[in-house]
Amino acid sequence: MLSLEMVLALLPSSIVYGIFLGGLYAIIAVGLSMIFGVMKVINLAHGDFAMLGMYITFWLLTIFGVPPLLSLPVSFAVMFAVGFPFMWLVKPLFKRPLEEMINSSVILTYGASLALASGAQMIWTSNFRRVPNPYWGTTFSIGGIGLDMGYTVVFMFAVIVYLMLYFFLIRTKVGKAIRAVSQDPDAAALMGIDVDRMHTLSMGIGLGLAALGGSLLSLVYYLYPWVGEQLVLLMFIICVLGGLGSILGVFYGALIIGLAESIAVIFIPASIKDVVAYAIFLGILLIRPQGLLGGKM
Amino acid sequence: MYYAERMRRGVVLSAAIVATIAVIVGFVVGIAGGYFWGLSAVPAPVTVTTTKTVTAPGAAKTVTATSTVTATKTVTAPAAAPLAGKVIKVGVVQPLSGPLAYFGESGLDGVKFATDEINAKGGVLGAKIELHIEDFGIDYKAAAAAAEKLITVDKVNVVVGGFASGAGYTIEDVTEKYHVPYVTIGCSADTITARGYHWVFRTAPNSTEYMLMMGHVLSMLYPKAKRVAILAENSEYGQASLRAIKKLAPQYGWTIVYDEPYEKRTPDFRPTLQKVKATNPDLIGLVSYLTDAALIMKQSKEVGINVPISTISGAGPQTLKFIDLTGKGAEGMVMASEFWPNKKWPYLPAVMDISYKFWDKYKRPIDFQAWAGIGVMYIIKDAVTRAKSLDHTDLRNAIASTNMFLPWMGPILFYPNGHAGWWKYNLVTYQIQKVRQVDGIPANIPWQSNGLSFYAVYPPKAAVAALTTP
Amino acid sequence: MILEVDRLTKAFGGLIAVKELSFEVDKGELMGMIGPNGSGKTTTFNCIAGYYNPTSGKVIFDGKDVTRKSSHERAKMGIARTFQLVKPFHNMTVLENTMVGALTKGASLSEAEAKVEEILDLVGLKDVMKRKAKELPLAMRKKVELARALALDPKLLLLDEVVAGLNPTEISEMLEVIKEINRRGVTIIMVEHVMRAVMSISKRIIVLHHGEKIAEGPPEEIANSAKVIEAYLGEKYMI
Repeated sequence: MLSLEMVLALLPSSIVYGIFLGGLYAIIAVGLSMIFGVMKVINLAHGDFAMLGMYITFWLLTIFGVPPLLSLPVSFAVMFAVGFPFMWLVKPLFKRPLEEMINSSVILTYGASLALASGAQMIWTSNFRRVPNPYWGTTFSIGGIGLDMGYTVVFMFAVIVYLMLYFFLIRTKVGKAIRAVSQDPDAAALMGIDVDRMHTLSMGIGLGLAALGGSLLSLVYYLYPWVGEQLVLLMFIICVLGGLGSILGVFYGALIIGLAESIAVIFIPASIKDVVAYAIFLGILLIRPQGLLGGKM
Repeated sequence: MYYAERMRRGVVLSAAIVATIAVIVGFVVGIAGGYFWGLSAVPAPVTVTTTKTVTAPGAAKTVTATSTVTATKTVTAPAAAPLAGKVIKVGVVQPLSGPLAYFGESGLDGVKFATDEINAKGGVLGAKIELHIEDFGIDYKAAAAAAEKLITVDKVNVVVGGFASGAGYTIEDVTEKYHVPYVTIGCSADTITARGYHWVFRTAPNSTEYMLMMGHVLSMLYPKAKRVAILAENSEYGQASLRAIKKLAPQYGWTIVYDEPYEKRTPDFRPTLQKVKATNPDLIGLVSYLTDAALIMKQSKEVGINVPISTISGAGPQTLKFIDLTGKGAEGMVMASEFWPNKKWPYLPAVMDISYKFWDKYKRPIDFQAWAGIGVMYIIKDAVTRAKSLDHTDLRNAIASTNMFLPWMGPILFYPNGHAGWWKYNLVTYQIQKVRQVDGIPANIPWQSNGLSFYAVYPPKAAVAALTTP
Repeated sequence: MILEVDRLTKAFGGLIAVKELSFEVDKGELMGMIGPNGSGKTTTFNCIAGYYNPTSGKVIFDGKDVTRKSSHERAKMGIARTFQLVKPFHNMTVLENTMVGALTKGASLSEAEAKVEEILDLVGLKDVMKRKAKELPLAMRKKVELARALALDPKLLLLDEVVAGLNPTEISEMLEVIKEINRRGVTIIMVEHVMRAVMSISKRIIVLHHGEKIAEGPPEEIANSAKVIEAYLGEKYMI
């Protein structure tokens, strides 16, 4: 066991790493929460869309030499467009009663997830790849805490994208309409809102955000066809923790999980740090079954 | 193929003489056998195999090995094969999806490569090899289920594969239960062959062998290192390796100051590395999968770790991919691996031949898993040839008495527990020196040949470069 | 004539909720629709508002056949409704809730805000407009729905049991608001289980029973109709 002195020495940097990791988690998870919030679809393929975002960044760089940060809008736009056919796939479920729809959406999107990952493996092989970028492995130090440019850039972009998303949902007409649909699609329809269009739009935005998150992740992590599978469970926990459908809740949830994972490692072996994340998740759900900011959007 | 290659090189003339004698003897016995027992079978290979028992390490092996194969080949051609029309069903259980798929596919490609070669030459005693392939992803229970399905539904004669020790561990439970021989591809945990199981065979080096090699090399390289931190992944492989390391550490004067397992495939190792740093080690040893090892190398710089880091046992760092993922950060690292195709390896041309053929076929550089996959199939081929039967027990006994030589593996003999101890002969330490940035992997480059960053440094018989302190 | 319902039938599987229902509503009228539980009132509303597609029959609004139009299209044409179980957007403020209606009519954010304040004044929610809908008591939430519907500038307003669950004071307050809305030229159809409320403000009432229209006429006539009393048998006290 480490001494108190040592714990105090490790704590500041662990907190910083935790916050940065939380930022990364938040940007990947937010689209998942949005899709659930608006459509009550649990998108298990979310991680795989992030994976596609990573590949978009990789190939744009490899083939056309596009710098990774410039590929962010491309990732978003491409997956936004993919939202339309994906919606077409999911749409038949909306005819079912809500609970059945949620269950079927899990099965349907799990299938989509397998298809995307296997497809990616077929096309791009199971090879591990790295997006060479100037931030990779570039380090600097603030107050004795060693930091990585990659994570710093990711965190900055996560915050920017979050602010943009927040502004979009609160301040714009379409944003208000999406929020109205998320809170009550029937009432929204009778208020003259085209619910189908809002659904498709939020699916596009959700998938776009997933890809954007993936593109950011590729600055600090390797890509391979099954990376989505690795991400999705944690993303889902973060969303439930923050309150499914809540945009701000996801950010808090991600920060909590990121911090918990980082700080827990001081006290326990890293192999069981996920247990801490799950314990916090369960603990918070016992007190607040709806999540931190349940249902808010 | 490789045999033919070596023949062409005409290593020893006597090989040809022995072969000719063998052919004649085989022919006579074959005709006699066929006459007396009314069989179309040719017992010739038996005769030849008996000749082969002279095998001893060293150059002599080449001679005998060559003779065996030539004999078999020539004999089976004219006379009808005893297993003609039969099918050797080989069940392959590999991780073909998920994060392990990179090496799982590699091993499978090796199996396919060898199978195609063997079948193209008429199979084994007339029997063609048929592959039944199952994927378990990262779910080791699924590996057991796959093995069970292969045995009970597909009725395979032998099971191969695994890659991850955790998978090997569950598969061998099943093969033991059904009395089906199982030859692993990979699976280096000591435990795999330490459970008293009768039906499992492993060609990979085990954790203890890796550790014996790495302990020796690292204590030469860093003689002052006393405090050693071990970062081992939380898996059967990682923990078995950790146990081996802890057991042998005192022998090298090491105190293990950190041994907490870590969770695989985390994007952020920095908190863990910080804690490692706080224990103030002189040397850090990794027991990690490819990507984790690469990420740890990168993030250790961020945390400000400047003591040497080395893989003690690696599931992947001994490949070109590791350099691709790690870049300059990999320089100076040492790692043990089970094959040394450099200019000091007597059978380099044969090895290069396979490497290029493999590249042409699968467009990926051949790696340690693909070599193992090819090797496993030739071990099975050899066993079937000697057993002349596809019965599980006969096959098992034949594999157990394997005594052969493969140019890309060396001599293969199994201990009674099923471990191929001859790997000690082949285990080599590499050092990554002068990393050449590998942007994508260049075509036509076989694995780990000279001049591609990996330099064999130990033992002396394999070394092409001196061990240098980074 | 603003609305014509022509032989409207809605079946859910084997269950026929509304059967061959026909009626007409004149511009500026305030019509009541009553009937026991399960008589098909809300289903009729849902068919008019576009929440359901009718099995057969036609809904003609403002001279146009809207039978196959989706609900948001009808909302834009001028059909607004409230729900029996209140459905404001819980996590939006009263102001935002009401603005949603105005915005879909194409108003800009600032225009919408100005227009909405007037509506909130009318329904008496101006004091609470910055509060979230879920924090308000039921009577106010019902008014939020009403305000939201009004923000659409509807030609036809469908009110589904707006006074159910309210106390007598709240009921009379609400009825005043409804009358005021009607006076401003909005045609209203009120579905109500509490007959007293409908009786006091409607000029004309239609009565549904098992999905069929069994009576139609001025309130006094309906109150004394033997058929209606029979339909409500056991619920007579409600009359």
